[in-house]
Amino acid sequence: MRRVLPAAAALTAAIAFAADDFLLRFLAEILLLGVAVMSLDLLIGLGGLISLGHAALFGGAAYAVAIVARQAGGDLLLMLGTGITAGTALAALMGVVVLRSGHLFLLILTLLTGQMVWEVAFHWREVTGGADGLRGLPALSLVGWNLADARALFLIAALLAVAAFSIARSFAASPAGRALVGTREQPVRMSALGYSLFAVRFRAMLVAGAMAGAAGALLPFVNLYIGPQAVHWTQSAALVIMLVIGGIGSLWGGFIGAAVYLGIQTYLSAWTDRWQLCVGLVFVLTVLLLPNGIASGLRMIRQRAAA
Amino acid sequence: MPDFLGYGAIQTLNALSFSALLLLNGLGLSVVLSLMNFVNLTHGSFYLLGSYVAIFWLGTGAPWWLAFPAAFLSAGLAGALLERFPFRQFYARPHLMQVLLTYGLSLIFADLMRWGFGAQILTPDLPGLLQGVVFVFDMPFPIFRLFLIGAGAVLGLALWLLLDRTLWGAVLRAAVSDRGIVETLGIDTRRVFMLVLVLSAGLGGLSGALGAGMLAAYPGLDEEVLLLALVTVVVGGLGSFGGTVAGALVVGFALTFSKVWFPEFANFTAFAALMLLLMLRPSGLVTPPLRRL
Amino acid sequence: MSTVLELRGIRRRFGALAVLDDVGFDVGEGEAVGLIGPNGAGKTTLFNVITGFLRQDAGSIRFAGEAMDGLSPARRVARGLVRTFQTATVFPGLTARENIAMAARQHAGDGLRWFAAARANAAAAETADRLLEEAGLLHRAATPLYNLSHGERRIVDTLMPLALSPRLLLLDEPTAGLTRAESDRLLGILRRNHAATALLLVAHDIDIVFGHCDRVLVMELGRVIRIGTPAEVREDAEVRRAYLGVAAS
Repeated sequence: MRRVLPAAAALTAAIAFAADDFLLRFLAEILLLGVAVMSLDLLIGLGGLISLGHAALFGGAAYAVAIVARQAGGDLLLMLGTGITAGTALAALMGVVVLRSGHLFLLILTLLTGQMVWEVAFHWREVTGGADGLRGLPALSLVGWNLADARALFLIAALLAVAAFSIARSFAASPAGRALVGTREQPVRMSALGYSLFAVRFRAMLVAGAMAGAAGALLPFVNLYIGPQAVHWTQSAALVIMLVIGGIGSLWGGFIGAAVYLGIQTYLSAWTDRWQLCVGLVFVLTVLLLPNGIASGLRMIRQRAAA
Repeated sequence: MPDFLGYGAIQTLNALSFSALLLLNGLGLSVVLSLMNFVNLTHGSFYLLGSYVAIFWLGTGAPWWLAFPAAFLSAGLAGALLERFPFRQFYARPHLMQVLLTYGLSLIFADLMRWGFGAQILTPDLPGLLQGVVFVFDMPFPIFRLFLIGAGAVLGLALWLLLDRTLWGAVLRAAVSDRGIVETLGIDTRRVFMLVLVLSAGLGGLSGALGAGMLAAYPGLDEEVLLLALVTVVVGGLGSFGGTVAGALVVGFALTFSKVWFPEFANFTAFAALMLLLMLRPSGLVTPPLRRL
Repeated sequence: MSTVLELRGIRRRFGALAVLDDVGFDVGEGEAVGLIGPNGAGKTTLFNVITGFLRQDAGSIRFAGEAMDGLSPARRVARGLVRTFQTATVFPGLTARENIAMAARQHAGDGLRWFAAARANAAAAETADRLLEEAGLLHRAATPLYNLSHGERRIVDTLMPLALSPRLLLLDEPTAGLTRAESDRLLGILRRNHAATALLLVAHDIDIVFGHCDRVLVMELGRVIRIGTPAEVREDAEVRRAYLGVAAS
């Protein structure tokens, strides 16, 4: 890690210097989605809690931020605070509803709660703009310093990604994260050791919600738009797809998955209408050939090279 | 007041016809889930395939009633091919991997169908027999929906007899609870599983053919239908026949009447009600007998 | 000797079948009680009821003088009432040390800690290593459980609850699959090094029960038919007929 960090910092600086606006916004979106996927990995990878409602946390926070920004301006700290609060609050609601159920019930309940957020975003036109979504946001700023250009957004997204990654790693290594793994591996034994399964899972849900909320806070500024598709369950499914392509349980695999998915979506859709087919094929092939995702594939190659 | 009565009767019939559709489609999903412990998220694709096949069949002018077997057979064939590869390799894998595989496949099928059948909304040319309305308390009600209620009841009953009351159903249930024993009796469980999947996919296709007259057919409907089928099966309690019937009725009535009472926030209300139900009964309406630790 | 567990009139039915029928007995502080009886006698159901995994239909459970009825399994564990399961219920992907540390952290009140995690993790690992050393398994501390032998896994399974320093430990077949020497060693550790922990022990191996327990309790068809010292129970004609005779033949 110690050697990777300076290299990554240098690469980030080089990209920020050399890339054009379109590429910078594209990369910033990858980083934000990567953070959202990483937060989902805390639930699925560590906890075995398959959520099909994670976009409701990520996109719900983005909506909250966009609504606040139109009233109170785009101060970065206010935006992050709003996003984290909204993400955590939605996660708490979802957690209370879903976490007493297991397996397929959990899948369906996350889906239902997520879709309820979509229903609100789609139908409450006065506040959310309905099907049109919200545009025309004020510029992102920090104590009067304008951060609206693509380069600043990219750098903020990169900083957020690094911060989120180290938070996720410290959570995974902490007793709380290890207990989460325990509830995935052997829930009955965890209760027999005195753990409350609900408390363990609820905590993970809050952390994942806060992290997704922080990423969601920047999303409307990078895309200059937030619409109901961002909270739809198919977007939740897309986050799961990114996670699987990148690698469940690896945390950083989420960034690879987001890059592959958005890469296919952006570049392939330029010359074929069948980009969804390609996403599906990549996804199914990953499940069939690399069930632990690209991250594990890379790790295998590295181990082979080292041997 | 008679208006009120008629309106209530019409909405109840609407809910029943929707429930019938949910029942047939949900049964397809639940036989595979309960008998083979396999989560098949391509079920919505079978449904939509059935819708398209029926719409094109009805467009050709061939005998209209053959559209339903045609939809059953084509979806069943798709199910048979998928069973050979890759479903069979995933029966013993965790639910997560089954969910991922079948969801990925459903994305591929969704795009293939959009490619093949186009992105516009298609509606079937119903035969004259099924067009028009009947009057219930002086309120018009589409004949087609009555047909749907009848078809749902008849096919549901037939399926219940098949699975619960025949030797074949007994073999099937035995094959699931103890594969080894059934194989020592000389029964090829792989064939049994194949037949279950064909039946499930066929039911999906058949519900698509029947549902086309009510919901039409368009890209994205596969996902909506899959969602409804999952909710039906889960609310019913994962798998038992009675549970799926109960689930179909609850979901059908919840969605229909929330549209009547809260037109703007219909789904929100219905989802909230279903969510509350699942919080109160975390294992669904009809739960299997208690399992010991 | 004060009692740690008091059961009175416990009943539990599954449908028409009375699996537990008026079960009542006491376990003293630090005492080891063996529980024997043929399959279907209700031993595992009794464990589930005592530890809160199942509700009784009637009867009362008092633990250390307090009523336990209605408390969740986790709450009972917090009071010092801990169990194992009939089959080894371990975390197969985690190391032997981490398996036991999971219990140690919960006992130290660090189970859900995030901040100052390193100190909590280190303390728990130390507890785990101490228990592994007692059992002669310290050399396996860093091995994932799926790479341990069945016997070793079973021993780790029994060491996990010890990290919770329970007042009463319910062991369901802890010696199944262990050699005679391994079984004696495991019971020896429990009785010598953790003498403050009372034991309620189910085992099919009668020699283990009679050799290591202070009292023996015989169940048949959901009822306690005899309770007494190993010598008394061994002499009892009814027990011989119902259980020992069958086992001896």
